[in-house]
Amino acid sequence: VNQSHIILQSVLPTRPHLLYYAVDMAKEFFLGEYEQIVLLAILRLEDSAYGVSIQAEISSCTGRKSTPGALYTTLERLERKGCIASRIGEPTKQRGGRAKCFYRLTKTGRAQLVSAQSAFTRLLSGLDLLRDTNG
Amino acid sequence: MDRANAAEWLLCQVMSTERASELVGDILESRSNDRGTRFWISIASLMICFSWRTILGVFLSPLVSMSLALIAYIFFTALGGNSYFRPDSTAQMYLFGISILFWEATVISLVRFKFRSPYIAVTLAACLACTVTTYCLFAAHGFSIITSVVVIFLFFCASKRLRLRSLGALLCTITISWLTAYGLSEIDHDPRSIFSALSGLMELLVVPFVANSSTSFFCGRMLNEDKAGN
Repeated sequence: VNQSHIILQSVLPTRPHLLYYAVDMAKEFFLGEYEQIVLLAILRLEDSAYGVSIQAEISSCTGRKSTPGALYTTLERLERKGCIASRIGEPTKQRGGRAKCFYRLTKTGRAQLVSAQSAFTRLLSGLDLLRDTNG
Repeated sequence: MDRANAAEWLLCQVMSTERASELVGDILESRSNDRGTRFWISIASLMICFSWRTILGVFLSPLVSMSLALIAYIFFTALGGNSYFRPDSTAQMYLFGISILFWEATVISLVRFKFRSPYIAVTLAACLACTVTTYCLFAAHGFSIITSVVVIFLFFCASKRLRLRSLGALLCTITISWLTAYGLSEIDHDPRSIFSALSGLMELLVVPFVANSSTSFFCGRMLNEDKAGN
């Protein structure tokens, strides 16, 4: 099944409109660089992936400081695309009685991530970039 | 109201309640030692990130809708001369105004909800139908054919649950916009009054603003509710 159709079905609860099919068929769905970083961070954190921990994981692994705006819009976009799913945790006093929202990768998200990383690996093969940098 | 509740209320205006609560909780947790300024900068940046499309749409849609109305006028005048557009006809002028509002709603929806939104199907159908009907109102036999096509098209668009809600949001928007326009036109008709000189300008500025704000409010709420319901 075309990946874009899976996403479309998750967005539209009823039978999709012909107009959307026409647009969707012409449009392929790819993950952006930051989206891949966020998905990898969620994967690394396993069951404890929520906004603050994802931000910290990205910062420690990449040295890149994520702004809340960039992170949460990306999380929302990934959820809309069906790459991640969320569940509400327990409220804590430290958060003013507000609950955490934990994220996990879905099958679609994992498949997209594998596809993107495979593309990177294929592009890197034979280039020896890491050896050149270290040497 | 403490700063966390105030921030949550502000964020609720541009996103769902659950998301707003989660974000405020995350900011409180990660910035517990920060002073107020850093907290409010984070809230402001989140608000901008989640609402810039709406803000852009509010400013862009009147310009685009007016331009499209002008293009349609030039096209239909070139096609049928003066017989297709009669500014003295009240019905045609109402249709003209409604078609501008529909175009505005379409532009703001495209910017805010992107192409896949079911709202686009309704507004695009409505604005195309309304514009064509405006200019073909006095064309022989044209009106009856167009009316049938419009009814079938709108029925098709509204046949799905989501689109029915979208149509409801659109009707709310149109009603509010026209009530605003009517209210403004009733302020003062005395030509010597300063209100009279300003009323035309106010209608041009206030009506599109009300139309756009109510469009984004109603559609945002209705589509969010639907998303949450699924």
